[in-house]
Formats: sequence, C-alpha cells, structure tokens
Amino acid sequence: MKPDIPSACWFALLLAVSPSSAPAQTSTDVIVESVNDYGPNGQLPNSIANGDGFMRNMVFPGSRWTSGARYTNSAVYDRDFVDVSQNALGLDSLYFDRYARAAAYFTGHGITHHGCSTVPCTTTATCTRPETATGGGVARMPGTCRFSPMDAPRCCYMVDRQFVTYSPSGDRFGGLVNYTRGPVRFGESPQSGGWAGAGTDGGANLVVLDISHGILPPFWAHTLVNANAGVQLIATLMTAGGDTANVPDRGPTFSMFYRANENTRVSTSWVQTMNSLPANEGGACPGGGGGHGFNGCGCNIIVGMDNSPQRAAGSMTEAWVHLSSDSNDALGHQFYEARWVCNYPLPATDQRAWELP
Amino acid sequence: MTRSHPVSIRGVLALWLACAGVGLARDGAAGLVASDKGGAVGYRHALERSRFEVGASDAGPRRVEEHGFAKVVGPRGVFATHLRNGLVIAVPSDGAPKAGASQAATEARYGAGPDRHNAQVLEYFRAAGLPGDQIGGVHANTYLSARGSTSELRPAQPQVDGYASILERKVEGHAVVDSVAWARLDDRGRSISEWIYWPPIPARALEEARELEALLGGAGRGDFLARLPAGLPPGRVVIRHSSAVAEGPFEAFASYDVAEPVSQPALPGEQAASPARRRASTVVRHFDVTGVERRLPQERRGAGPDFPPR
Repeated sequence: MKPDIPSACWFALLLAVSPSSAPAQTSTDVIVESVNDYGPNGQLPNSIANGDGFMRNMVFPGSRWTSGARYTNSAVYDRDFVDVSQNALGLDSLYFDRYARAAAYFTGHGITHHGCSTVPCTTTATCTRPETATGGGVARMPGTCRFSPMDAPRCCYMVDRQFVTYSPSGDRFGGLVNYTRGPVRFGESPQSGGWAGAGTDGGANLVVLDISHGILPPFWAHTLVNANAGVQLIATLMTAGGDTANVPDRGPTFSMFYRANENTRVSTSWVQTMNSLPANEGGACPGGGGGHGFNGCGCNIIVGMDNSPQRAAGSMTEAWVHLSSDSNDALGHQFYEARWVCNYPLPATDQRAWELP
Repeated sequence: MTRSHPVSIRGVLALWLACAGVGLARDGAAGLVASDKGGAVGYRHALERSRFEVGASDAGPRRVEEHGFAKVVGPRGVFATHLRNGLVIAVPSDGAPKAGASQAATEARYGAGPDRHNAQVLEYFRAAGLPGDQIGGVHANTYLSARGSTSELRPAQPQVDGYASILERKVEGHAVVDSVAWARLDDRGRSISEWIYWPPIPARALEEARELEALLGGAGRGDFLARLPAGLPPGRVVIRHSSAVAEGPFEAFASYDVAEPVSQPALPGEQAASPARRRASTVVRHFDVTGVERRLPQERRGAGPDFPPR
C-alpha cells in the first residue's frame, strides 16, 4: 500500500530526486507496473507475469540494466503516470517517468473507444463528421476512411487513447491515464531540455504501453505527440480490427532480444517480438494471419519523435546499448518515424493498408 | 492466400536422416533432438545450417557465453543459442546512436510479396533439417514503416518493408502452439533475422491429446464440458509447452484451449455500456483431460514483493 504523499512533502521529494545537482548521462533503471486485478471489473491474469518477465530478462547478473521499481495491482496508481507540471496530483517524476529510467513498462487494460461511425466511405475526404462516431469517447477530426481485414471501409475519427489502473485508494484520475491529450509527458530530462513545458524532471528513455488498442490506425503520430517530451521511443500495440490477447510472454520475449544481442535495434526487437509469440493462440485474422499476441488482426508498433527527420529516423536505429544514453533523448517532437509488424500479410506494392485516401 | 499451406510430406524425416546427414542430436548439439519413446522429435538450429551471416573479420567470429546464451559474434550480427532450452535468436548488430545514424534507418527491403517469402522460408527450414512432417503451415507477418511531420493533419501513407514467415507446428494433427520458427529474408534469400524454438514433445503429451480428442468426439463430451467453468466459448485440443522465455523445467501437456473474451472496466460515465462493447482483450485458458485448469510455466506469476516500498 502506497502512502499518500502530502503536498507539503512534495517539494522535498522532488528535491531528493532532482537531477539538477548532477545530471546523469546514463539511465539504467527499469520500472514495471502491471495490473492483473481490476476488482469487480474482472481480471487480466497474465499482466504481472508479463511485466515480471520483461524485468527478468533485462535485469540479471552481468546486465547493464538495474532494477528500478516494480508495482502490481492496486499499488499501480494512475498518478504514477501523470506529470506534476500538468497536474499537481501527478507522481510520474517519482515513479514511471523518474530520472534515470531506461525503460518503463506498463501492462494492463487499454480502452475500447474506437471513434468509428457506421457511415461507409470510399475516400477519407468524406469523413468530416465526428459527431457520427459511436464507439465511445470524444471523437474529433481528423477523420479517416479506415478499413482492416475485419472491417469494411467506414468513417472513423481521432479519439484519445488511455490505459486503465485499479487502485481505489491511490487513483486520483478515475483510474484512467490519457496519454493523448491528458497530463502525461514522458522523458523530459536535462538532456532533452524543457521544450515540452513539463520541466526536466522526467527520465524514461523507452516507454512500453502493453495494452489493448494503444494506437488506432492511422493516428500513430497524433496519438503520441503530446506524451513525447524527451522520451526516445514509445512502443505499444495497434489493433486492426481485433483485440489484444493478454499474454504472459510479450515482455520477456522483447527483452530476450537484449540478452541475445545488445547491439541489435530496440525498435526491431519490439516489432519482431510479435513474430516470436505463438501464432495459434487467439482468433484468426480474416484473409490469413492472426494470433501472435492478438485475437484477430493487430500490430506491434514503435514510434520515435524528435526535432528533425534525421533524429526521428535515428531513434529507430538505437541499439539496446544506446538506450541508456540520455544524449539520445528527443530535442523536440516535430517529426516522427514509426515501425510496425502486423500479424497478417499485406502486398508489397499496395500502400493502402489502413485507409482509403 | 498466404496462410495454411498444409505440408503432407510423408517420409521427409526419413529422407533427411538417410540422405542429408541429419542425425539425432545429443543434448546441446544441433539437428533433430530425440524425445522419449513415442514422443515427437524436436529440432535445434545451428549456424552451419543457417542463412544468417554474422559477417567476416580477420580474426573470425568470436564465440562467447553471455547472458544465458552461447553466441557466435561477428561484425554484422550475433547467432545466439540459449544454453538451457536451445532457443536460437539470430539478429543483426545494426544499431547506431541517434546522432550517428545517417540514413542508417534504412533497412533491407523485400519486394517479392508474402507468398514468395513464405515459400522461401519453408524451403529454407526444410533444407536446414526441421522435420517436414511437423510443419502444419506457414504464414507471413508484414513489416511497415511511416515517417513525417507531426503537424500534418493527414498521416503519410506507410510503406511495406518486408515480411517474416512463421512456421506452424503440428504433431499428429494437433497444433503445438508454443513452438515457433520464423525468419525474415532479404531479396537475395539471406536471413536478416530468425528465431527457432522447436523442442521435442514427450509421449505423454501426445497420449493426452489423443485421450482428449476421443473424449470430445465421444459420449464423454458432455461430462467433460460440464466440468469447465460455465459460459466459455468453444475450444480446441492443442499441445502446449513451456515457452522459449519461460523459466524452470520444461513442461508439456495436451490442453483444451479456450479463448475467453475480457471486457475493459466500465469507465466513468459509461456504466451502461455492454460487456460486448467493452470487449478489450482475450485470455486463453487451458484445461487438461480431467477438466482441471492448468497454467503454463510462463503464465505463473512470481510471488515477489513490490519495490521499493512507497
């Protein structure tokens, strides 16, 4: 049980973890926050095994990573992810986005809001009425004529992405963490600078949101731009008509690539984690594919942002050995580069994988 | 159509044993890995059977034991064999710091499409010695990328960069869910990355699968299903085993696997939303021949405490 932190103690705590005295150039800590138990709302029985597995294959004798923190179930507060500069109740600089975090991994529920209407379409140009969306949340422009192997083209709209905690005593935001337009900023550090308006009291270099519907296509940039405040990479899951399987081995499989070769790319390790999960678990994706940590159709996606196209592209080349270097922290979020692997085949020549232009 | 190219090559195993020099491996050696009597052989990959190239150097590749793997390290990549369970991961050493990454983000592309890639990977693994009669199908995952300005209202169209083709394992008609072999090839047919975990399956697991199949196909079906929790969707008989990333002793058993939908918690203001609308995830549950629910080693959560206290 985490104690409530009186506001009077806040500044002392912040000073205690403040990087201002000796800014580190290297971040090695790993934090995992995992939720199995959603109380009367049900269970995700594999989240804790998943998060612990990620930690296990990152932190072991001889590893370059160090054990930062591990919280489970009701010890995971929504406040852990909220930036104090955006909301005074936020605790991210003490927990998820604390200074010297190399990797910060959350595994639990995402939300199902999809922003889609039932209005069929043949071009995105006609998708201009977000008020027709029926999938929950607050839909807004931009629109997209989205399709997938499981869905005919219909107008869909941007809707905030969020993940869910369950700590009746510790949550202060209804158990919802809105990382699209909410008070969430990842990775602001002395090395990145305070360009995001969130100070420099963060530190996560890699954020993993192992959740359902982490991104919905094609909003890979829109979804994450506000949360990018210096973080080097954000990895998550993108559904394309299916839903995410709550599996125990996505996290440990990802970090197993580190054990095998620390000079291979972090971005490739995440997307190839999909290939390495069982294919015959979960439902099929129509037309071929499915499984690999999804029930239906989905993708492992990773996004890097920075102040130039070159630096954004460079985020995709970072190996595990580079992840610890805060000199790779983002200096802005004007440009992005994204990579992903989907659990179904797409033809090599047809780029219209998600929307009708 | 790219999924489920059924392979019915009776005798492939014998052919390889006789003609291709593929012998039953001792512990730690590459090739076919013997099971107990009545079980199914496994396969252990090796660099000499691989199309992955670690790269040439004057000193030759370096061999080290590190982080639980026996590694062959070259200038271009690492071929790593897990010391305990034989898992092989071969991946390039293509990382670069952000500041030094001039066009380094460009990756090898594959332009021939998923069907061709599937056929190439199938042929590759067969030639390497993976038992052909255990290949139940092959399917492709797609690599994509996109880039642009975050201020653009419309995102740039993504591009297809390549594929990984994944072999599906079947023994006696039952999917062996946790066995995984995949490779990503470049346009010249060389392996860019690969992962192979294909352990031997003990006879007991195959016997259990036959028992379960008979039970579900006969008069005992109703009794068996009645022992399961109510309200579950239909399942299927498969063979499950410790995953490549599981700790502890190897386990394998036959399971009636059921994919159970999970709804997200009701959100503030959406209490009335139906569970179907809130469906957010899926959990696969496993029931043995007696109807008892089982947990795979990788699914068992540790009992460790949270830390640091707060």
